[in-house]
Amino acid sequence: MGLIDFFIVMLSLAAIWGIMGLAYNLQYGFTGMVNLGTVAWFAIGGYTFAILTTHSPQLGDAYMFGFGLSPIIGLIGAAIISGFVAFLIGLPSLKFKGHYFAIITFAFASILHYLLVNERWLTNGTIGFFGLNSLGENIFERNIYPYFFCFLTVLGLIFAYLVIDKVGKAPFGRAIRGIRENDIVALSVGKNIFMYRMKVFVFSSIFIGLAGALYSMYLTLVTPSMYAATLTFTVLNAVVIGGKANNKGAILGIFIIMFFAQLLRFIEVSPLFAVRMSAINAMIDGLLLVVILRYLPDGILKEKKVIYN
Amino acid sequence: MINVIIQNTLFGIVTGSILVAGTLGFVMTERLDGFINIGHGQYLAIGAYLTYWFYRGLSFSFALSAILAVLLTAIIALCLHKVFFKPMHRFGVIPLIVTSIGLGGFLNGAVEYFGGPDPHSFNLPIYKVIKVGETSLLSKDFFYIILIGIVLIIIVHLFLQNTRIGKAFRAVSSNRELAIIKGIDLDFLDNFTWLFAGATGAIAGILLGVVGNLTPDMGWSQTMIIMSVAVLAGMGNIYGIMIASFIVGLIMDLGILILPSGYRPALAFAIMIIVLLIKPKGIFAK
Repeated sequence: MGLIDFFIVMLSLAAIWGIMGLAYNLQYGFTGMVNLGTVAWFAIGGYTFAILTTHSPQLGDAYMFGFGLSPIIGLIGAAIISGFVAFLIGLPSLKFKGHYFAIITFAFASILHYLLVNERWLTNGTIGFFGLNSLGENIFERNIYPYFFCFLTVLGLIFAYLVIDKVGKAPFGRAIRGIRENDIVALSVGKNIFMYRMKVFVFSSIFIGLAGALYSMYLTLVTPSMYAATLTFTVLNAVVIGGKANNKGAILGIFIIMFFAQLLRFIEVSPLFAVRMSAINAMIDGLLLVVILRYLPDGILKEKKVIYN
Repeated sequence: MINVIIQNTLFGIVTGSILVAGTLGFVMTERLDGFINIGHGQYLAIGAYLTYWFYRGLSFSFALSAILAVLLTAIIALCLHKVFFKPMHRFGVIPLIVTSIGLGGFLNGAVEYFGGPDPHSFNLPIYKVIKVGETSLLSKDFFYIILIGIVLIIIVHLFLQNTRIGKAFRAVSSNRELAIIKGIDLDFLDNFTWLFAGATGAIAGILLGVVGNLTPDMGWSQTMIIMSVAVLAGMGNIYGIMIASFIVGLIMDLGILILPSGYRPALAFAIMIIVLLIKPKGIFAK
């Protein structure tokens, strides 16, 4: 695999993660909602896409549903289902002041992992689905398909950036930043906090679900082990490093994290040490988050201060 | 069938006793400092793994290993608070929660680094199961766990009602500003609470190790169950925890009679959602 091919593949991956980072930034940076279960919506997007597009079950398959639809319908389905699940989770968790949102999303992500492993009729257990179809796979030749996919994901990233940037600058964006800064003041000028937070949650979850579907296209498989809880923390890390409430910052953060994750892959280690590598990774990730928050609380790119007259 | 139900009820009480120890520290730090420590479950893992290391690695007696582990975990919790959480207070609640996530990830990585990815077990001597007539109940060590839970409840009750620090804690948790104006030494109280959180967390972790296995992920999975107990009790109601723990323990251990055992944590989650939908202030709200 040539260097350009490697670059293309990495760029598609970074673009997928970038979409997720942007959506997460809308929740965490703009609205101040600490979602500790982002990976759940990423997984829901991926699994919805897989179930909608995979072939129907044959003899010996544990799963019961495989619709074999086109990838476009898979993407639409992923968006709808992840938005709907966000609505369901938002109902009990967004209404009350306090830490309920963080608690519920954290718990939901770990429960979803159990479901993915145990509900074999729907998710095919630990095996998951593989050999998934990608968008436009039958139009393009095998060797130029990665370029098309890269184009597709970057297009998705640009689309997500434009939409989320627009939302952030619109009156809606000002309202959610107001809620983040002082919810009592926002309430006193007649903003329905619950509705605003719910809209943000559903809207950004749709993007996370789409990113999840793109990710399962990228890997052409979904398994429960792909969606470890640490994934949430990676995205959170990226947004905190890049700069919260700054869309360029979120993408920058994702690219930085991606770069270092790839760099770690090239470090040669002894096999004995390689077992401990994931543990070291978790330690570095965690410490990085703590240190950045402490010494660079606004991230690399600061939120633009806007003065309204 | 009756036999199984009785046994699982007793298991539920055992689980409840462990949860009391696990949740007390979580809720007390939440009351005092105003943020949820997502990394609290890691104190359980640290306590359990330290005990494992003392007991199996250095072949100390189990009681000594456990006591050393509890003390060490308490000191670790205090140090982490001093180094990481305290300076973050000026930034507000959300950076504090995110710090606790980062710290939790770091501690989880550290536990996995030193303990390895495979599960461990204390390999304690197996006690004979106590029988009443035809029905077999629990083995002796499980009864000790229930005893430890009850003793912990009594200690915390006496502490909150009768000691100066306990009264100060209640004062701060009901009205922080007023308590500070009245001259309560918040620093001392803070240090004490974090020591307590580390110690009780370690106790819960060790008891979990006695009942089951030590896995590197036990910290995260216990965090989730601890949080559902806290929500059921109404976030911050210290006395509510004691009942909520037993309710969650019983529902989890009786629920697996009907559902596959993989759903034990899912039941805790279901309780949490139902409580938030019906009685969002916890079941003990007035």
